Amino acid sequence: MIGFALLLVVLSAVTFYRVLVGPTVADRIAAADAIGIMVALMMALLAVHYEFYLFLDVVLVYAVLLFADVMVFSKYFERGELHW
Amino acid sequence: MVNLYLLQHIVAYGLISLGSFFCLTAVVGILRFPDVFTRFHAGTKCTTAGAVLLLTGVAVYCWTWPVTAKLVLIILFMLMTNPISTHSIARAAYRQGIAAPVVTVDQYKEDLEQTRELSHQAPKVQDRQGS
Repeated sequence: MIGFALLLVVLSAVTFYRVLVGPTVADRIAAADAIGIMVALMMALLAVHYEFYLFLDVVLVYAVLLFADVMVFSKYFERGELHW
Repeated sequence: MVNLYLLQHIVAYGLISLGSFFCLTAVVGILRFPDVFTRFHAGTKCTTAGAVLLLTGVAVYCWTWPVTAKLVLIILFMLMTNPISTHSIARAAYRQGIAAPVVTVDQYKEDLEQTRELSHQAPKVQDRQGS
């Protein structure tokens, strides 16, 4: 389990290259979204490895916040300001 | 008699390995594709499949009721929200004018023009009805 978590750490570190040098804003947001999902998966794997299943609640809240985050970012970059 | 413990671990490690492989393909697609929308395509599909497979593997690995229920909730939530968020980003990118350099068929543009024509026609019909 810890091996798969380390693999996901390496993968998200490689994906951060697209966040840094992405030619457009949308590239950066999509790459950050992928990094966030990988971090959520990493937390689920660590919950299994340490047998500390409270991490799964953290994963659920993290997924909700990631969704709200990406939606707010996309609405902001679509119209230039936030219309609710 | 099948060794259930061994079978459970084989299935769980297989699913987790498959999910990690899908995450690897997502990263390769995000890094290597030439265009914004192809990067969206690679990123969202492979990340959704990888998340679902890996969390299913975790749910098989620790097969107790509270953990599996929470993991099913997380899987359903990721299946719902991940395509929605990527669709929203892609729509924002299209409306900001970040179009693909090589587009042969742009159906979204045709749909937008069609709805614009319909919305221009609609007040005329109302005027005819009024007059």
